[in-house]
Amino acid sequence: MSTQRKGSVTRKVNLIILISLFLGLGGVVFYFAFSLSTTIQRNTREGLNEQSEIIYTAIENFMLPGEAPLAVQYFTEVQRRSPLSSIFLFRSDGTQAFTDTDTIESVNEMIAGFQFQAPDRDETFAALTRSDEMFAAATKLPPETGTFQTIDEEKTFFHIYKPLINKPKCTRCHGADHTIRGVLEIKTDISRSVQQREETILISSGIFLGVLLLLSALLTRFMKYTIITPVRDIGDVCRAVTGGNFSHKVNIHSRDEIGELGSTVNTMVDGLYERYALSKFVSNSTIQSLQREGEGESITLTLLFSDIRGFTSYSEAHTPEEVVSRLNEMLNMQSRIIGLHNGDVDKFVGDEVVAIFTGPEGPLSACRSALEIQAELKQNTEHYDKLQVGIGIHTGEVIMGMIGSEERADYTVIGDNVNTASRLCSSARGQEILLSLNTGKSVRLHADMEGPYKLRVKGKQNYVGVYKLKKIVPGGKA
Amino acid sequence: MKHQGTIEGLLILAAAAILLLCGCESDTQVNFIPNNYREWPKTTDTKLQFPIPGHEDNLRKIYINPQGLEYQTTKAGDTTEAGTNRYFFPEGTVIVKEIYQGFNPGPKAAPAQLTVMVKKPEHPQAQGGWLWIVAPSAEGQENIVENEFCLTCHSNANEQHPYADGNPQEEFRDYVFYLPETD
Repeated sequence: MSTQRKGSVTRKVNLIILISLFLGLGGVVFYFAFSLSTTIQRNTREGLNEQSEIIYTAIENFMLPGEAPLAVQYFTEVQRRSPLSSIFLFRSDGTQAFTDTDTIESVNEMIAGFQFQAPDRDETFAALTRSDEMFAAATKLPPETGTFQTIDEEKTFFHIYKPLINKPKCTRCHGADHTIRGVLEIKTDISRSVQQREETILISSGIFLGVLLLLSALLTRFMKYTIITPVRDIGDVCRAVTGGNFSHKVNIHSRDEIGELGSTVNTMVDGLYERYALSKFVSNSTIQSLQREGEGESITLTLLFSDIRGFTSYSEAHTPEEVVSRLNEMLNMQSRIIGLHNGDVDKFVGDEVVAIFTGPEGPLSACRSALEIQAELKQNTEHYDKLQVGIGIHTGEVIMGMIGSEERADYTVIGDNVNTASRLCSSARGQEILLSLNTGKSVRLHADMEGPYKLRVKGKQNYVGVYKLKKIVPGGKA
Repeated sequence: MKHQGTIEGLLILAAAAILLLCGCESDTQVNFIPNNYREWPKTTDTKLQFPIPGHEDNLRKIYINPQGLEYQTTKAGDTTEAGTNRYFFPEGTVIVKEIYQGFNPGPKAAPAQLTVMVKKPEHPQAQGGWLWIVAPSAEGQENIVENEFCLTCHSNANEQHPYADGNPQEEFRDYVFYLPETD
């Protein structure tokens, strides 16, 4: 689950970076490429339109003195000098002018000076024709100059249809019965311009992709080092703490908000560790009392006292290190078992364990704990150097509260019932578990017991009734 | 508050409606051809019953508003430019040319089209100081010609041409082929 969540955040951050860069950079690059492409296209068209105006004016000036052949020579010269351009002259009916021998000969009769070179009558001349909509628009009234593009053999051509108007001054030669003399077509190869536009778009796209990838990588790394990795570190520390490992700390690399968060988490882990460490030395009830900050209270609970038999002689026969080690091992074992049955070690007094069990299940839980402690010692008697414990269990009302001075206090239990439990423990022999009558009655439906016996204990005038606990019957006694 | 919002909304709607009406009114004011243009003098007594480029085989009749008769003449030598006379029509001159269908349309025939020159040098669509307008009739929609077709032919009025006196001295005649006769 956690891995999936981490990957998801990384993906989201990367996606946001990529989308932001794509939209931001893409917009700028698209605008740049579009503007450049449009400018190239506009400049090309304006240049060609200007060229058509110049040619038109030249034709007009050649024609007025009756030098039409010079105009045709001019076409030829322009084409020779500009191999990318072709110039055609069409009549208003769409047929190419100056191509049929009869017309050329009749025109030659009308003009002075230069004469048209008429083609041989036997020569086949492939005259062009135009009948498209643009041509029609250029020959209607009022005529319109038209431009369009064509693609032929992978080359792009730009065409201009420029109507030749039969001006009043032209009517002397051409007559006044028509308005449009013909249409001048200038066809220019603009493949280079188109290629330049395509290259502009390609280069812009390449730069865009390169910058996009570079910035994506840089920003992703930046985000990884500044946010994602620190957040993952914090998550790892939290998981370690959940598993009881307080040694993990967040590595603080910055003093920003993430750094402050990591520092706060480290402080929190330190606090948790202190509390955890404190719980080894202070009972749960003490810790709870610190939270409650309450006064003393009277409460009914079950007390378990356990004491190691013959420990004094054991201490004399072993080194202090062995004594402390063995004692801690035994206390640790008993604490663990008591904890497993929801008991709370109130205190250790030398080799003695004082534990309390609360609630209606307290007596039975205390009995189960006592039986498991004895079973553990019996099964591993060699391991525990044949040490044995005697256990006393009693259920009754006690006073629970903060007992001690202002400098040093314990939240513990006191009262006659505490003494009774202690006395039962003192009376129990090794491997023996003595229950008071109260406790015995509480567990009688679940436990095999011997007794009751009368027992005289220290500090009590009367006999005390006790049971010897043998075992707990699974599922209860029938 | 709701009541106040309603009033504000109505005010905005009213303002938008006024602006819209003003805009429409501004468009309809572009009307240069009066219904009584035939009461104006003709620019020439010549019957324009011969073919010309632009109008081809159709009869023309040309009227000019009285203001146009006040055109100015700059004689040769009056200006720093050596050369010929120059004629200038005053701003507001309107010349209406009726184009009929064919050379003999009949006495009651209405013109098929009106082509109009309006002297408006400051107008953004003016060419050569004139607005060139086409309309189906005096009451019809007037459209300003945006291409240079009209100007191209009428530029010839400032050079030698085949109409009227032919402008042999190539005087600048402000794009008008037939200068109206004045007293």
